[in-house]
Amino acid sequence: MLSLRRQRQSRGNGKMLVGVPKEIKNHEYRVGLVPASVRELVHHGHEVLVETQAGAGIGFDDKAYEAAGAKVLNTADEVFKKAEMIVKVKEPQAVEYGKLREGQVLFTYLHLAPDAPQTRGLMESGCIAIAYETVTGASGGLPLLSPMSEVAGRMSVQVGAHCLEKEQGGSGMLLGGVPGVAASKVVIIGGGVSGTNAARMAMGMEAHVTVIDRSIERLYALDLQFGPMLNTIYSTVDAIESHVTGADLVVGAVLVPGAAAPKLVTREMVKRMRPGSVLVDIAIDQGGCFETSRGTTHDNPTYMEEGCVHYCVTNMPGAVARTSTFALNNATLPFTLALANKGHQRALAEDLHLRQGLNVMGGRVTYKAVAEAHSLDYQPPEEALGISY
Amino acid sequence: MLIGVPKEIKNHEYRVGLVPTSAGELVHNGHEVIIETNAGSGIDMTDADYEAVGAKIVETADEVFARADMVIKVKEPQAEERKKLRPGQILFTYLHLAPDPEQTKDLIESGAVCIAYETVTSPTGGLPLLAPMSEVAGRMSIQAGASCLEKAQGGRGVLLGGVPGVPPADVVILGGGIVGTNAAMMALGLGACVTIVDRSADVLRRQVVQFGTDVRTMFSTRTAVETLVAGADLVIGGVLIPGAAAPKLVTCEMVASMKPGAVVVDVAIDQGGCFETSHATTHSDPTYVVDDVVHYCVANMPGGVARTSTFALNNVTLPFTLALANKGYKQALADDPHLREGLNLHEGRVTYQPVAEALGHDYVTSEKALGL
Repeated sequence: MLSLRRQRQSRGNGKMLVGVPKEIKNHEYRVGLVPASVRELVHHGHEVLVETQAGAGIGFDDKAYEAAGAKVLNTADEVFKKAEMIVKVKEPQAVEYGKLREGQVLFTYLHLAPDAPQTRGLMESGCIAIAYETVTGASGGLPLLSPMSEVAGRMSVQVGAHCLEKEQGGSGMLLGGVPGVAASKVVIIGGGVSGTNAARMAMGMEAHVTVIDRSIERLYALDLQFGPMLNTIYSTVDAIESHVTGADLVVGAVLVPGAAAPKLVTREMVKRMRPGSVLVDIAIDQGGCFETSRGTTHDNPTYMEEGCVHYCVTNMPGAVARTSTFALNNATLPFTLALANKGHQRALAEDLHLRQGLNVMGGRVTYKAVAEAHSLDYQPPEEALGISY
Repeated sequence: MLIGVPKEIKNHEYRVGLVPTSAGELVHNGHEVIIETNAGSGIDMTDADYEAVGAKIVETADEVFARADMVIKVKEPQAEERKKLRPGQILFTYLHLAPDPEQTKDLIESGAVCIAYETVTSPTGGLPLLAPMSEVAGRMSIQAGASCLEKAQGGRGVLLGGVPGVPPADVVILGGGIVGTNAAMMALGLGACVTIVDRSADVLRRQVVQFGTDVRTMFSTRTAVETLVAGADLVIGGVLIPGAAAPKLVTCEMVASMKPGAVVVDVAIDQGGCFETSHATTHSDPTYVVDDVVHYCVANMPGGVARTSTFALNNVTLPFTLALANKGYKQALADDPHLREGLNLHEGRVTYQPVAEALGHDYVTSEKALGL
């Protein structure tokens, strides 16, 4: 290990100072790096600075970080000041992007398209902002978003089961029924990552599960994966109407990357559901896929509309912050390591998929959709990085 | 026979004694059924549904009690209901008389024939009219636990089944009876890592036969409970000793040794609970925190999923309800020793020994009371 480290240093790959501030957004308990990820970075010769109590909400105390080789600092200011790369979870808040400096790498979720003040703040800082959500995968998809979709999909069924209880306004149905009593009908709209994970959990709880998707290939794949336990239906207005109106629990898992979710379930359909039936809208972060959806919080997760319980919590994975943090780290760590080991310039130059994550660099917007959303000039990342092919 | 079903009046009780299909079976057998208006409205069984199967809707509970030969309910009669009972009238419902001297006194005075769901026995052992509620509570315990593990509920933010690459939660289930088995089924279905603890090796063998290598089993010793509880994300207390208080298997010290944000669900709370730190809560305020551990100790858990519970209960009570209606209670009780075990009070006399002993009443065998 030591010889590898020397070798790397002799090749000119210096150590990088990686900083992890405590998340400051309300009810955000996740953290950019878990102790195991810190240890990987340290093992690769880097230095990691973690703000005190950064992981306290999910059972990682300062000692755990120190044991992994991190230095614990008392303030976010120190972390931002010293670190060459900041690894976070949520987009930086106003007080945080004020602390970023020119040439500093920021690796986190950004979601800049609907957020003009943050975009401006990041441009003014001169930092190199790489967004988790736009990094692409070699086999398609958005690999740093999909673990959160997995979590949200799995969670949707357990929250749906809970909402079906009378006290929550539900119809008093147990998801899986019991022997001799009909199980609940669960209808999942969208057979992507979220929908597939929701289906798996609902089948595990012995519910009667139907997945509706507009891709016949996706339905083939689901049928292969789950067999006769799962009912797959091709998406038409007719199919959605007839299945939704008969459902005890509807999970909305339709996500169109980078666009508003389509409103597939109308108010009329919700009206015709059994009173106390439940709708869980995983797509709420993209505006929701039920006409009756509006965003809620973990503090006050549900509301009644047309006699049905609506669970439309934005940022669902935040509720299971410990699991979500591990899942996110599993996906981000290879990129974090590449950025630290090679420096951002080379890491971005060598990996087309990571380069898709570059949103802002040196005061210029390098992600087209963000530039268009805010009517700003777009500079291709290759140009910003000075790469020529 | 004229059978009456009043609307339940206990707070937050949405279940109902007969579902429309059960009422239909009774009508089909030549009986008359009267239902208090809106008796099933909390679980989407409308007056029209009952009328469609031939039941008659009446406006008040008074009318139901005044006219019916047999009253079918879910929960024990409340004080105002007990006043409406009359000598010789059959009451078939959950009673739980042993810890309830007032109810026992009132029912003795009423002179009614009181048959308790919870003491009816079965040829294969067990308590068949309690079992479906244990199934429901066992299954529900996992969804309650999963919800409590969320940060907003005070939990440690763990998803029960994890995701690929992230380990699932460790679920420890104390007791491999009906509650424990159903809890294990749901927890395994959600992808959790499940250990069942029981003091009977035979029970543990049955778990392995049912779940295969997916489930871990552990023979119950103090050391085993101590070790497993300390490492668990979710502990389900499913230890029930029929007719007795649940043993306090998990001590205050063990709860204190658990991870911050871990969750305990005490399904045994109706029998006093199997955690030393347990005290009963309600569906409207289900949890509290002791030593950073979230406690879910809702009494009457199945009431939370009242629709499913009502169907489940009707599936097991209907054969007995039909026997009582078709044969009359004397013949039905004479013919079936298991139903006879359900007879707690007969026209002013206590016919169930544990109730007589618990409350210091004279005991008469049900055979003698019925003149068999």
